[in-house]
Amino acid sequence: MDGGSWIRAAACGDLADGEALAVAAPDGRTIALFFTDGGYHALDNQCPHMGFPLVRGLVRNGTVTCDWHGRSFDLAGGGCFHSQCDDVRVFETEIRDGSVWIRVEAEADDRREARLRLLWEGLLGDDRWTMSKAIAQLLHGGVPEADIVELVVRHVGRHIASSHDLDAGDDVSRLINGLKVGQRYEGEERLIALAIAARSAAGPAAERNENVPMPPPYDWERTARWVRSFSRDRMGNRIERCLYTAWTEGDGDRILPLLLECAVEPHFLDFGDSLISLAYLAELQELFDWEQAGELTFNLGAKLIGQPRQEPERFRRDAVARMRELQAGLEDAAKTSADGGFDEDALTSAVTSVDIRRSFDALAGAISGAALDRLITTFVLLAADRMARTPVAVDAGWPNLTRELNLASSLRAVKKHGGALAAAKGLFHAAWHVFADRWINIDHRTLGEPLPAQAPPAGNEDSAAAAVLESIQILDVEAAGARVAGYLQAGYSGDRLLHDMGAVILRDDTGHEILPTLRTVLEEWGNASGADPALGAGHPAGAQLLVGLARYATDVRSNSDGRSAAVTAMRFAEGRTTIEMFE
Amino acid sequence: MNVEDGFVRVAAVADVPAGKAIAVRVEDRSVALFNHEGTFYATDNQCPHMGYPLIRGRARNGVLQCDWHGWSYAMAGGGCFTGGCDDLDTFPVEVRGDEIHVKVAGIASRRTGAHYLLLKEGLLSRDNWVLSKAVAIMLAQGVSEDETLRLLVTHLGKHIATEHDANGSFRLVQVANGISVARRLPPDDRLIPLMMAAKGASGRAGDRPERQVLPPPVTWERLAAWVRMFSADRDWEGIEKCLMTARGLGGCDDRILPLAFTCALEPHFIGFGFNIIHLVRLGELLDEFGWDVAEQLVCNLVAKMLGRHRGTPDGVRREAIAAYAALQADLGAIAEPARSAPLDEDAFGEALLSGDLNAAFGALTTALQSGVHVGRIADAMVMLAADRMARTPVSFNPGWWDLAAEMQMGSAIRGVQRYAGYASAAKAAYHAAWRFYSNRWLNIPNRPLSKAALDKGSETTDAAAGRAAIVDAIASIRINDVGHLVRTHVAAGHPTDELLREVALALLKHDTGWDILDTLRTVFDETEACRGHPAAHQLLVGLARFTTGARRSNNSDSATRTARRFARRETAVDLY
Repeated sequence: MDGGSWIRAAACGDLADGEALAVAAPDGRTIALFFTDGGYHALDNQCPHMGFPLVRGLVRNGTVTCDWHGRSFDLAGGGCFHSQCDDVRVFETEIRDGSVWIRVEAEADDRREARLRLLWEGLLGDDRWTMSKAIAQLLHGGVPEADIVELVVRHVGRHIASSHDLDAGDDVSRLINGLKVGQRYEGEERLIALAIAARSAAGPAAERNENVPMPPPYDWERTARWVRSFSRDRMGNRIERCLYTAWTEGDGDRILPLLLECAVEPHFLDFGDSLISLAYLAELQELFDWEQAGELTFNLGAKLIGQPRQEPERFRRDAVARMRELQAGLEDAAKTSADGGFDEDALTSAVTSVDIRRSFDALAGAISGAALDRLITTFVLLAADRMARTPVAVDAGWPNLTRELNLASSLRAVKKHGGALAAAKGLFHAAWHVFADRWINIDHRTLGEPLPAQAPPAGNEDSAAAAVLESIQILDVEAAGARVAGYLQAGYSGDRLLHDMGAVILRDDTGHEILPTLRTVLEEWGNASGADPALGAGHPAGAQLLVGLARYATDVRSNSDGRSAAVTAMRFAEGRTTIEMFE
Repeated sequence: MNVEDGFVRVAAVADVPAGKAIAVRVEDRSVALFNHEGTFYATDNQCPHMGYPLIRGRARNGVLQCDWHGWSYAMAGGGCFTGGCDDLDTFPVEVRGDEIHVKVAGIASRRTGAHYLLLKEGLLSRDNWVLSKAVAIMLAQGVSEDETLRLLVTHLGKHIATEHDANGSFRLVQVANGISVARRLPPDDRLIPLMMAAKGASGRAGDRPERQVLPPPVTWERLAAWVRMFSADRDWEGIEKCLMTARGLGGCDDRILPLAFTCALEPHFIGFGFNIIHLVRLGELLDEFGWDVAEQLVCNLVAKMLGRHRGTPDGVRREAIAAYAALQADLGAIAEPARSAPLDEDAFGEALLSGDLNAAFGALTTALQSGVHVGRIADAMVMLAADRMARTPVSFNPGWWDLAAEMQMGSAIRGVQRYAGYASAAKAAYHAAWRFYSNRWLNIPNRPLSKAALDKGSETTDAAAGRAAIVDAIASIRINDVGHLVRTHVAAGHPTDELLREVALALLKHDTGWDILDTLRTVFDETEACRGHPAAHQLLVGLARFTTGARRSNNSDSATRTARRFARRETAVDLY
């Protein structure tokens, strides 16, 4: 008897045929002991499907069927007969001196492959529990997060390519933002963020036509010309093979710049969501290699820049025409990296003026004189300020305002991956959306002016932070904004408050909806509290990022309890469900 | 013409003005010659999508767009920008003085050896045209039929696994019967039935993690017991897992189908005779393609068929289940007689069609116990069904599909014996008897099979003219004439095999062949098996009447005929 220790489980005769008994193991788990057809079988008592105690199951024909969802297991080998469920662990038994003994040993974690397969099954079946469970078990078993994410990214590419339309951009948004936000947390919140990322990728996937490169001759310039013209002609289904060919010919690095170049064209004004999606796609492609994310980029990229567009209505037609006229000047401005000063208030007045021509002209002027980074910062803070001040009476316009914010911030990625000209053109798209959101009645305010003073919070930093979280939880929008402002004006740590607010949002709320905005605020707050004034360091409106987030998170709260599945999954991974929930 | 370097003069430079295109013939191919943005391009003139002449297309930006459906190609490399279509052949062009020379000889086709890509695209898209084209091209270019069929069967397995429940077995039989019928026809006539098989195999193929086997200790006996348990429980996932595990054990492959039949023949499956027919078809595919190709198909589909929901039986079916269940022990012990005892076919038929289930089951039990071979019972059942099909009144509801099911059930008894042994075949005969019993609403007077007479006809013409008259009667839907014409044709002593082939072709070409395919296939089988039986000709009469009665002109022929011409590169030339 070497390896593991033997515990005495029962006296022979304690169990009648077909009966079972829960036995406490030294590590705190319980083991189910069955007696059937003259033999004893010891199994982990926690059903690998959802953790119900197997001792309550139905025994027949050498199998046990769990009484909750009917998953069946072979009593001798532990094999599960159903999908989306692991095999159950079996323990050796022996009869000695009229007693039944069970050998208990530490579990060798050799289930990595099985659990990755389980995650894949969860992804295919869009089953939140299976995904949470598999991720919690993988992490508990020491599998690196990167391996888990790799599977998710691979799946999302195939899912979107075979089973999805344009709205796939939302999936990519949740995926990349779940990963980015998750990196800033540990434990529960990290698992929640990771599970949101995985859920974004979930759904069926199927075999599709094999990608085959175009026959030679290949020439990048020619291929790029085709992509541009197919994008203009709304022929998305002709673009994918061009992109794939470019990648096989070694021009992978030129694909995302080309996609971004197409997406900022004037005819795509009012398609800011596509531009945001492409910026996220560029970030994903940066994090993962082409083997993992290529299918996603080729397919979704082609769908986004080749998508159908309605005939523009009057305002948009005027805007498209004006942007076309101003474009030539942009190319020169983007080449010379100006970093002169500019009148921020004049620009924001024009952008919020409800006059698209004035807005675009002021923007073109600013681009010729000021640094792009600084202009992007202006649009980010303008959106944050609008979120911090929008009236919440009827329709606060959250989807629109958060699009303004996320679009502005994603122009930093557009600049990084697509170059200065693409980012400069992207600013017109940002300006268009502010114009398009003109129905939201928010007065103009000079961004550079100090914010109105709030009553100082009572108590210390801890109690002030707790007061903010409390107002979010009790859905007090106005108090949430005012308390955040008061907290920051008292000189307390914004980093800490933002971290806590993020945790609350992840745990108690529709995290997947707020996720992109949370991620933007996390990054832009980092800029605002950083050292580079061009990115917003020291700007008086920086605080509005946190105020806006708090108001938004409070107002859209729907309390879908993202925490409970994650917490159950973690308890499950530690083998604690049967004990804590059912015994 | 200058031929030593393979280039041939095709036109003068002046013949092709800037922005224009002309068609020239080189090496018996129609070649399109373009003068686009200062360069001459030569491509195949037949659009790889549907064969329209590309000289009528529009060239822009180095992209040639066909004028019919808008498919587009890179003029320089011939690459097609969208799926469901091969790349376009392009040819080297040289301007020599004021003449244009093109080299066509020795230029390999684009995507040569990539026929499978097109077939795959057709299978995934379910597009009739892409499928017909792909099959026609593969056959025309010397890809073996076997290789094509292996691809179909593999795809079918994937498709059913994620997109179908137990009724996926109807797709399976379309594939099996399409292949089987194709084999009975000369190679030139196989395209339509193969296309029906391809269509049956086509559809989305979802991703699915490979099923893992159960960990040890498992034995065949335990697995078999579990399969029976899960079948009774209607839990198909459990069955699939056991079958995969049995495959993994090694040495048990030959026991899997017999086990499946054991389950499908259980009393609770009375009324689900098509399960039995479909399992026989599965056995045939497995015989031909082997486990490597058919594993997923067999394990997944068998599991779904055996684990299917069966509804609550109504009163009559409940009684049949009880009566048949009471016989189980006796039937299990029945052994194959060395020689069949004689069967009084007329009395047996009388009992089977009496509308009294006890009489039907009783006659069957008596026959089996007195040493009548089950194959002999299959003969009688098939002949009865054929005779009924040859005589059913067509005024209101002739019951074609029910009669076809009777015939197929009778025929399937032979398959059950082949795959699961004699005792199982005996059980299958009860399921067949149930099928006859449940057709009791059909008003077809009984008559002794031994008196199935031929019409003493007036046919004096030669055999070919007689066959033409029969096909014409089918084509013009003269159901009341067609039976008589077939009977007189047979009575005149003309060979029936040729007639069967022509009737088969007529129905494949002009009709919804896919749902008649299984009957056609059974008639082919049974014409062999029942040769010499006094009522054997009723198979042909019944088939001719059935196909005439069930006709819906879908014109299956036109797509495949075009596909064949397309594969021979004839469309651009002949049609336009």
